[in-house]
Amino acid sequence: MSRFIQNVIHLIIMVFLVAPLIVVVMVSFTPTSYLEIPLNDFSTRWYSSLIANSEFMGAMRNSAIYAAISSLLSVMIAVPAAIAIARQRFPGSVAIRSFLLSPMMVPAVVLGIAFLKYLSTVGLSSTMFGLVLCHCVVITPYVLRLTMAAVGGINRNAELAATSLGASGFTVFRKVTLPLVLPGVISGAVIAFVTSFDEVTVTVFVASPGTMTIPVKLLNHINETTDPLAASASAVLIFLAVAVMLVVEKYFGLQNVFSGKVK
Amino acid sequence: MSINRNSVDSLRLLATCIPAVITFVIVFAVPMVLIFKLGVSTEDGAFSLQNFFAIAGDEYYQEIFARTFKLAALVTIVAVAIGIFEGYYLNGLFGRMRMLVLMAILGPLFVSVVVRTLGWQIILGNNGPISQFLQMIGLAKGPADLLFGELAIFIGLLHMVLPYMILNIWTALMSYDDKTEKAARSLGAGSGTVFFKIVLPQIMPGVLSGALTVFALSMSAFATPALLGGRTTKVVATAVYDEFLSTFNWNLGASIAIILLALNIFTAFFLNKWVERKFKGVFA
Repeated sequence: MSRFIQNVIHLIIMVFLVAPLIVVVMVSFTPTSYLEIPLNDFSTRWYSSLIANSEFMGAMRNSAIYAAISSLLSVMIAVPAAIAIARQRFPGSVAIRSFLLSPMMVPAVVLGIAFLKYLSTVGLSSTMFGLVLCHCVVITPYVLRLTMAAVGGINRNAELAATSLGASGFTVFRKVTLPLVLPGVISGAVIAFVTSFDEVTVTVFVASPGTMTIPVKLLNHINETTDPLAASASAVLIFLAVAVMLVVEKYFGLQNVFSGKVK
Repeated sequence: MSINRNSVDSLRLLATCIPAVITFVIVFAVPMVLIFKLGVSTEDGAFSLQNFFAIAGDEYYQEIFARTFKLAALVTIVAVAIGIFEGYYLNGLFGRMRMLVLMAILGPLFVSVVVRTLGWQIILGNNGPISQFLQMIGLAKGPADLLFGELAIFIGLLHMVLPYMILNIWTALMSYDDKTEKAARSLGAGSGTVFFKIVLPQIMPGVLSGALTVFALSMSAFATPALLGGRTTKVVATAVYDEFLSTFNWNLGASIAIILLALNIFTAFFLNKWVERKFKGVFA
């Protein structure tokens, strides 16, 4: 293949990847009341109606809150486990590792109905607590995997040196181990937050009008009507995603953050 | 090292896993058991496999499973081809250019799949740019509607899974050793030979893990087929949704979900076996 043809194919792939996002942003500035790319007239009327729409704004706020709580919860339970598992083998460590990673192997739609059945059985349906717990299960494998990768890269001599100089086990953990795994934990938390914030397939089964999240709200809205309100709400999500991505790239490097997400 | 191996230390390590394990038993294992029980019982709770026979004998469900499998297989094959190309291309880029391309590839992963699918709904819709282009060059008389069908689902799914595929292959390429490639070239091997005999076998683990991820994601995708398939072109995930939230036949819905889970596990297993046999030595 000549270099020219390769460049052309590459360009086509790039356009394919970003086209839907760019189109959504363009449509969000339409002055008309249907999903159409504005050619000579631009308007922010759909952003005004987005701000005035309490359902959309409420769903965005909910999504942010649920994502924050569930990723915090997930970090709290996954990080200690990840450090122990990645450190060394102990009886049951392999089984625990597979068990904690297994939600990744289950199709999201299966998780969704399992959570729906479970929450209605234990009387937690339509509650924020139930929804956050479900999200926590979905995102914990990501935190676990990225933290384990970070622990695997630690030089143990630093810890041994601290111990030999008389530091207690907890001090070693706080002053040596934690700072070394922190980048892994933070990228895990970022991925967890983004995954929870964007999650739709599980959430569509467990969200209720009182606990609506923005992806589910969007899905329902698009299924019912085709006004550009969906486009302006989507565009806001795209702007937020770009902001998160730039911050991640600046402080951690994009490829590092996602190295645990693939595979 | 030997001090760390005593049983007190093991117990301490085990204890740090307890919060996660307990949470997962209560909020993951129990729900999974519940859904299995639901799938293998009748509406009044008695054990029965009747749902599985009903699904196997019903043309409606046969078509849905066949369509889902066909779409997932097609998406996986095309994604592998594009992923190998783009992974290779990305690996040849450096500095600012690499970062920009990486952002374009990873960007979609930061945005909810609903947003991405809305983009495809606009692009493929009868007011969309493709329809206008087809009318402009005279290939279509009226507005061309490419929405709501298997083609639309295919495009949406391909877009959804492509970043994972490219990333997997690119990761494999980063640990790729180009000395063998240079050796082969110096011995007179052509580009095609080099690619199929040297490059492909070495990046096969990345291709395999990418293909497994992509196939599993496409088999169980929900939002994309729900928005791009319309009311008639159903796939397994949307059929499960219908059983649970429209017709309220939870037992049947759970049975369909169990079949989906089993299909995913079996395909992963056989794909693994097949690739391992074909590319022996790479997985050592």
